[in-house]
Amino acid sequence: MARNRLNKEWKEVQRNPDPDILLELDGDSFEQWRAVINGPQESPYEGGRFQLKILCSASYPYAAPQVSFETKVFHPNVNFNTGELCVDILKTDWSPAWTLQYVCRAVVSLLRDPNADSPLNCDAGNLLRSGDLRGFNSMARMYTIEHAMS
Amino acid sequence: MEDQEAVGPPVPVADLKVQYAENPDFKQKVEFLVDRFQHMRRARPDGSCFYRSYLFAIFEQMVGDKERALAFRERQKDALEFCLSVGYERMAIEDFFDDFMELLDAVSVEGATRATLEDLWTDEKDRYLVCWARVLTSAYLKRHEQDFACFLTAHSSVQQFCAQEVDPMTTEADHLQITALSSQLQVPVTVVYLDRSEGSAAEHPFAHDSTLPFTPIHLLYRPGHYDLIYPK
Repeated sequence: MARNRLNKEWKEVQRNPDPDILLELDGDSFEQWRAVINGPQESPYEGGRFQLKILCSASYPYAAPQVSFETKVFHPNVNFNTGELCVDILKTDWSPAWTLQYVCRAVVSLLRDPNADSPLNCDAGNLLRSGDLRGFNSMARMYTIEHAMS
Repeated sequence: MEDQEAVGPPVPVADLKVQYAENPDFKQKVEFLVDRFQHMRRARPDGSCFYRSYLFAIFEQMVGDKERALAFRERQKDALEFCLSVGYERMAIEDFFDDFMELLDAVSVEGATRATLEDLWTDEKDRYLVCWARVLTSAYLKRHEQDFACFLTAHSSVQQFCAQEVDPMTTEADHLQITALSSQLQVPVTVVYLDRSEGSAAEHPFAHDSTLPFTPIHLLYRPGHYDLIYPK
């Protein structure tokens, strides 16, 4: 299933690319993909381009793909050091009816709407939870300029 | 969990007597079940037991039965378009639909037997079919959002309910999911509850007003799990 399905997804993203998402194969196999997503407008990530690494096992789409940020990002749901991200649809809420493109869209939404509960980046989470939106935005902006806009 | 077959072979309902021998709370209800039902098939308890039991029984009723299969096929022929209309992506779900329809053809041909269905129901096929059943359930809920939204207690929208309680492969089915899927498939099903409450086992019918030529399927519900059960 994995190969056949990923082949379809590959053709589909070429036919119907999302303007905010560049999704492509990373290497010769369908196992490893690379995505570059645009930081959402009116967020501290605006203007940034964030690279994601996506790994699909042989049991994809029954098993969720593994997705992590390659670009450093300051966000409560992304581990600052490893790039690991915490989003429900990649964990408990994964469904085989979703696609890699759908996952990338969910990551863009996550950048737009950070979830301060159960953070992977406590500093980012604490700023948001304490209501210091200005502090959070300036930190996120600084890292975006430093790592995602060069 | 993977050790257990997705849908097991028929076993006598009387086996439940042994299982609940030490459990006086269930004794009366087990007696009732043994009086009324002949055998049961156990479904793998991984959260998808409702979907696979219900689908298996539907296909079982179409084994070698062209008339039923034709009526069911007619009802399902536009199901893929129906699911696409609520936002699913074709390439993500069309394989599940194709498999579903292929199995329909394979079991309804002349000479097919229950063994044909059991052989075709591999773990891989099971995953495809469960997926398809979940997509159908979600699509029906989303399309009839106004009818279902008022029943939500822990979710802010039907969309969210589907994303958290229907689409993920490990989530169990409850009243809303059963109502939605049985309404879409139009195959009558009765859920028989075996729990600690007083009296005989309660039964709850779904889609019993269907005009498709199927006899009601029976599912035995014990908290957190469904198995197939067959009346005498």
